[in-house]
Amino acid sequence: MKNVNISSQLSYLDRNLFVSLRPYESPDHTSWIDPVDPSIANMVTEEQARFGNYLPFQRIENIILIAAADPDIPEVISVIEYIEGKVVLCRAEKEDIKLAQDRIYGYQPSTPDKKLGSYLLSQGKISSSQLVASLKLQMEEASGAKIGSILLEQGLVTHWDVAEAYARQKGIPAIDLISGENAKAFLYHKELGPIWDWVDHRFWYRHLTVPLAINDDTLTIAMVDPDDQEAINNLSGISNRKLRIFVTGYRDVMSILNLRYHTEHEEASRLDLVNRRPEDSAIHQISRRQAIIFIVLALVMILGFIFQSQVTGTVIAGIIELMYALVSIFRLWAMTKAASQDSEIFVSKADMDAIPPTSLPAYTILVPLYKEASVLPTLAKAMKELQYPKDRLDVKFLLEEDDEETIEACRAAHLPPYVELLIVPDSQPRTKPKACNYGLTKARGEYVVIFDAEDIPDPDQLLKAITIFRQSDDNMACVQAKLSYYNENQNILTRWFTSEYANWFELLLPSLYGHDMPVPLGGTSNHLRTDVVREMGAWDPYNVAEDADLGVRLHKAGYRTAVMDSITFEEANSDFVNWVRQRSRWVKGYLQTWLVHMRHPVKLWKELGMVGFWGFQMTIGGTPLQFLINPILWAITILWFLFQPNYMHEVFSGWIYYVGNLCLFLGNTSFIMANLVGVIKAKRWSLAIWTLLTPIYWVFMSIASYKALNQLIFKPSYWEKTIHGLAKNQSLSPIDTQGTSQGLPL
Amino acid sequence: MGTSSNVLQHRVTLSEKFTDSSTVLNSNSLYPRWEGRTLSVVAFVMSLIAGYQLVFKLNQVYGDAMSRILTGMYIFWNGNFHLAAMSFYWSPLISLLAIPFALVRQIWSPLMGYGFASNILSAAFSAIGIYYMHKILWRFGIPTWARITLSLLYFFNPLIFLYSSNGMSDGMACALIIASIEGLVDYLQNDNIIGIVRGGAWLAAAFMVRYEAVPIGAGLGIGLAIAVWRQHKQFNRAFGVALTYLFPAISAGIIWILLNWMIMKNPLYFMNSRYSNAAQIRSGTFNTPQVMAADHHFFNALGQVLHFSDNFWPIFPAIIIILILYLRKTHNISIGLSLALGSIGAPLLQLLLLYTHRSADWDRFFIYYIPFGVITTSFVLYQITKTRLIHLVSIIACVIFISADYVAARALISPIWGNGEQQVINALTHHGSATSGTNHLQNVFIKLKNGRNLALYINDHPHLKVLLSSFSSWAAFPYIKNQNQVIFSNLSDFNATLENPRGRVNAILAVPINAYSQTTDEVSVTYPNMWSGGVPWTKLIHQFSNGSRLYEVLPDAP
Repeated sequence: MKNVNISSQLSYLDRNLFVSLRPYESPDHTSWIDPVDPSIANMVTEEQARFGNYLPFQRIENIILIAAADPDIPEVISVIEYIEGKVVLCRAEKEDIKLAQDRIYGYQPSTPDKKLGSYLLSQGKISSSQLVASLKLQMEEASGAKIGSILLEQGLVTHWDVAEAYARQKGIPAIDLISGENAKAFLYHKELGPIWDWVDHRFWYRHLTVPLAINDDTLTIAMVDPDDQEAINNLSGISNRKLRIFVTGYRDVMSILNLRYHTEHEEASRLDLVNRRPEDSAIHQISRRQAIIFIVLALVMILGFIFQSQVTGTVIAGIIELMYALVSIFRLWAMTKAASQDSEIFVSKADMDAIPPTSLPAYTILVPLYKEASVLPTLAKAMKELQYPKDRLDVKFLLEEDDEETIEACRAAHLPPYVELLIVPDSQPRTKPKACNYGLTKARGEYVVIFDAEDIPDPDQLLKAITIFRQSDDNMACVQAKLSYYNENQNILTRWFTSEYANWFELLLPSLYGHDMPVPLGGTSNHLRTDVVREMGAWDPYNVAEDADLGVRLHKAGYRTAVMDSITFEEANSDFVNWVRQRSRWVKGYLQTWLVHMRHPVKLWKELGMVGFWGFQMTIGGTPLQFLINPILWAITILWFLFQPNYMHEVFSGWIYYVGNLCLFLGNTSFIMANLVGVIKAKRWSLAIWTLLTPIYWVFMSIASYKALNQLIFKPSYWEKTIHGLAKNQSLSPIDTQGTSQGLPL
Repeated sequence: MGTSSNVLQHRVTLSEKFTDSSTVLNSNSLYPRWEGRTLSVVAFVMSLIAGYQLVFKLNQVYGDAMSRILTGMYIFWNGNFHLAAMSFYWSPLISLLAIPFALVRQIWSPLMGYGFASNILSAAFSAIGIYYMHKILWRFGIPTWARITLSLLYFFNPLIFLYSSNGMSDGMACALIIASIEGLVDYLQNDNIIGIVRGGAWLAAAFMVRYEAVPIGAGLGIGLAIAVWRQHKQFNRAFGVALTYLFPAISAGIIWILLNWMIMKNPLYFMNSRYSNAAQIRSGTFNTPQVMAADHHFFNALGQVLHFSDNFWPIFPAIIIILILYLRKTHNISIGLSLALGSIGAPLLQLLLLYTHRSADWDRFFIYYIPFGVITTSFVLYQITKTRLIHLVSIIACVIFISADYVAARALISPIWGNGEQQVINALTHHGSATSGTNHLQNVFIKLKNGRNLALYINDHPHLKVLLSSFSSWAAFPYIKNQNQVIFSNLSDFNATLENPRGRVNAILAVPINAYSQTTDEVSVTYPNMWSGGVPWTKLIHQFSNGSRLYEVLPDAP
């Protein structure tokens, strides 16, 4: 049945010959004549005849006449190969053929009564006990998932098994698009060229459909779900032709689509934002105007130091201290606001239960992977744990073309059917956002979320996000889950890192959301409306903090990002060098984001509003600024106490001295307090004592920040890869006993 | 596309978060603010009126209150902000709060001249205190009429009312401690993190007003830790929560020590300078028979500490009931345990200081019995009885509070147990005036007059540049017109000028030698013979009516 070259077999068909297989009265009206010769009909088996909706019915000399409801299908064409003699295919009514078959083989009830599971059972693909268990599961979940999806999810059948069973159930032929030359034939057939462009490429992905052939009155397509009336109506309407439908497997369609749009999607993954909104892209780090401003400022500073060193030093010190104090006060404010009111959105179980499972849309999960084969089991388990109908999960593992180890590991891992492996073409920039963009071009979900390879999201996180989206205004474009770490007790670095995250996700981000400020998204677990992300030009592949950047762009466009009470556990970086790499990438990204959006400060003010503008300055600008300034201020403080140079006394005279003291004392206190309150809010009690030592952690951050500054200048889009899989089992946190609702699925 | 306000209105789903009706009852958003605010306004106005009466009708000006206020003025003395002038022997908050008053003192000179700014601050803090007292009583589920009545009975406790109006830091510290306890109660009742953050911030503020906040905070923090541990059996949790509560105060303490170190070159300057309580006690000025009896006599010291509980007598019965309930484990008394331990913090400190002869036995040092007593007693009455016969319990509470206020009033007029206060009482009862000069507070008022005379003299002699001790001559500063004419203890060049006056000043003010000035007045300490004319490089210019003498610095001076 496979490897049928349809176009070459069509010459056997006499398109003008239409026959009736119904018995007719003899000319003398004395008897009934059956046009079907049982001896000819029995040249094929009942199963073949019924499956292909055809029937050999007469021999005229050496010519065998075969009636078929659809002569073009492979099941019919293939019979020609083993029937001796010349064959002529005729068209006949499907009903006529069914009645004729019943006369020859005995009556059989019509096929629609037979369920998909029965077909799979009769084919020996599943056992009766498996079918019963799956049907029970289907009833219990009540998600509207089809039995085929449930069997697929359990690994009992393949996509192709389901497609075949579908074909038998619907009486529609099945077609294999992966093997042989079919794919190329469909892709490069001249007549098909314009058909692909009749609709947006997302239509083909969303409806899992591909065009196969076209003539004057018929458009032939292959579909995974032949019940998809939306696709059928759209295509018949656009093409103004009858539709001839084949059933095919999910992977068949995806392989054709991925081949078809490979180049287009690769280009889009790099340049979509650049083409749509060049001013928002970090493809160029700084604008000409910014460059001029920086040069002028530098010149003024140099000249100032030459001619008015004390005044210049005082002015610079004053500006720096003022900014530092503002950022410290802002963080203190954010802490108190988040601690005093619940800015994050709580979704109760009752709220989630109120959503009919059948109404849940397709949900795309993008998981960029690079040299992370070791975390595959954890990742697969985390995906499996998600409480979401698996038939609507569109999980895409985004694998880099040169990462053969991970690709091989994925192929060998027997991943569940809702996981698709996407090989991201090797091109520059080789960044996570580019991979995500590539995945997004093929996303079928109404919503999309990014998870990192080592992520363990709360199982109900997707449902919570959907609940929030449905209860919110249309401008709610993103829901950010809180991130935390599961290996916080591994060493002191992971303890500090976890407490910092607690501060960031428990206090700062909820405060930003609560006060209508742009929320710099976390690297993962940001649930987005797919249409909005596409409208925004997706992630900036040239920005290494693409998440934070997207959060700002969403806000600029009038969209909002909420923070929800759901946690994704990640692996805290436990190795210092590895940590510096990761942190330097984040800081560099924040600097990039600040530079990009500050190309037009007045415009930014108008787009974000006053509150949003200052929120942007305090978070995106203030965060790296503090890391960069800290070493300078520490050095000055040490020099002050050790040597008390006159120049510094002159520079830090009057109120500047006191603002400096305020920064030193209040700044340190407020940041420690914020971390402390963060870990208390996150119920990470054991970390409280370690927050007192966070000033040491700031030294690390400053080291990473200067590395970031260096890279910003010399390697702006270079992606410092974080190595995962360094967590030790014994350091995993018993978080489930400490307040989170979900235990770690490890 | 909806507006951002719509987004902000869409907040949280509360159905799961707040399921316990008692939690909802105590939610901050449900607190009847108007009640608290009305009480605050009443307390502020009444305290201000009382403060005005004290200063301008009875001439009762407290030296300590005045000094703290004046340091706010020193900070901007030469037109430049100079924090080091704030006098590091005082805890700094009141001085910092006095700065705005110092800046506008030209508008109404009594703000600084009579230290009335301190009375205004007292009144403001009393408003804070009664607001949070009322909120705590509301958290305990006390009915409206009863919580208002009990709040007022707290406010009208004679010692509290006096210290709500007299400008002293003790009343202000009480208010801050109450605010801190309110946050703590919020956390223990509702698991509300902002409660401990808020409570911790208020505690830090209390530390910056009175050092008694240290033992009180320690007691509350330990009580909090024990309560959390008892509830959850998680050490880390108990420690983390207590640390969060205490961290602001600990930070304030560390910063204060660092500032002392940086500026005064002595990290413990605030404790061991010559102006510290210990140094003043060593001078013998405050050696009453009671202080001497407690000196290294534990039971005498303990007896005094316990006796001072007559400021609010129900406190110890309440503490005993809490401890019994804690041992019997029949009630959830997590809040009570913190209160009990917090209650004994300040008395324990006083016990230690009295025993080691480093403090006086002033009634005001035991003022903390009152806020703790009110809160602890209320907690015991309402938490134990819960909602049964609540109005009867309220009536009993009112009777107890009235009796407590009566006993406190009796103690206040006692020369022993009202030590440090009975002069005010005398002034109140006998309509004493500034001119009678028979008591300490009126002496302060007389000092103000003398200070003004000194200032007028300096103003009339613009060629003079005078070195003087701010500890002895503080009363002059509000009236000095040309601020460059004086160099006093708080200024950075004071010590250098004292050692080598030639070329820096042309006159030095010496005060009569007595036990007090010998230890506190820098000029007297450095040049004990100056007042008597025994310093050869000086020459008497003028003698003031209070005995102070102004000496010219001769060319052969160092």
